[in-house]
Amino acid sequence: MPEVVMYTTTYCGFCAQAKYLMKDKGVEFEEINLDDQPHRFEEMVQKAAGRRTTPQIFIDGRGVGGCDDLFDLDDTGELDELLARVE
Amino acid sequence: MNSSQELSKETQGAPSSHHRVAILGSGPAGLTAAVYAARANLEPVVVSGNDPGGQLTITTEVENYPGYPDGVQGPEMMDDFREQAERFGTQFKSGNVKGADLSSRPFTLSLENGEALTCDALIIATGASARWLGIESETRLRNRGVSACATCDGFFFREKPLAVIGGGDTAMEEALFLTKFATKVSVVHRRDELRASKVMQERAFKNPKIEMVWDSTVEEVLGSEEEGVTGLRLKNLKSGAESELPVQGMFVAIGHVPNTQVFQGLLDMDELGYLNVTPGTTYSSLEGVFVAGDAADKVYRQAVTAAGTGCMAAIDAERWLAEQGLE
Repeated sequence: MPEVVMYTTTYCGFCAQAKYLMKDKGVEFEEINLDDQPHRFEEMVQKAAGRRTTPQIFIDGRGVGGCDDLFDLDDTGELDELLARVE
Repeated sequence: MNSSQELSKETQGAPSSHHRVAILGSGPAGLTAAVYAARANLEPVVVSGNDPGGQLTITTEVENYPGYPDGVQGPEMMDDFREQAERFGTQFKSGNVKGADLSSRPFTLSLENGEALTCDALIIATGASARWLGIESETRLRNRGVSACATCDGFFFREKPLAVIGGGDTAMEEALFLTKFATKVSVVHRRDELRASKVMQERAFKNPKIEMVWDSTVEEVLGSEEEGVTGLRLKNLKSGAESELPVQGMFVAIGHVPNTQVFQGLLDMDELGYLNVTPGTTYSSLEGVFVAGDAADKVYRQAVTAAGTGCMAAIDAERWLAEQGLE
């Protein structure tokens, strides 16, 4: 399964929703909580091409955007394809 | 949209599973229905929808849910609900329902991703979603300074002037929360009085960082994708005069729309899309389909009332299944 990384903040509902989606799919992911690790905010912005909101989700290093983007990908079935891909 | 027609096209050859009870939505209504249905050995499946956890996941402090004397954060509370539903064997399925065939039993539901499932009884707990203003500039600048969630994005607007649109409790909560970060919060409301509860109004009026902008609507969100939001072009509805409000973020809190579009033409609903139920029960206009939470409630819209009707829906479904010999 590809490596999934999610940048979050603690009281962020869309982060919670993105996490529920991954959990319902049985996908493990690394969570980087920016409240605990504020120094990694700039790193997220850079990786996410300037986007400054959480969550930002990366699948094998590729940015897939935030919560809405993740659910859009799931609706089209592309998310499952990305997650099933073996590098 | 003809949901059943679309369904027959979509589900040919798609993977399918059968459940005695399917619950659509995973907010307090859906998860309470799940706890009750699971404890009744109905082995429910919860289709968690495109906002898993529901509106509470984008709420801050919940102070009015009994059992949490010190208050609780919305997402934390939904984690508790889920854990309890899981404990009794609820199955969770990610995805969103895009079509339903309720013309024969078992009912058939098709998900956005092409999967389908069937169920003997259906509990609709799809809730409601935040309403947007619906202007082009708002869509273009969403996530670039336009947000519907202060608790998510407020953090990124330190020392900046912000605006909240709306006049209800949610708008006041958002405004009060944002005063922790912002230099000033302007609350833009189209009337000259608030719908918010007295308590919330008092808190807002007392806060020196909150300024009210009465009788006004947002005509345009100013700014660009590169620099983000720079201001709002407002129109005063009484005088007709336009003005610019320099802000770097706009938080929209103007109410909700029920997530019932997929049942249009299949179940009775009112003109706003709220599903009709037999008063005092969760029975929809169609036998075997039950409704809980905000999908049928435009009056109370509380976590505790949603949970209450979720419980009712599970009990109604259980008794109905027993009457059908489908226990």
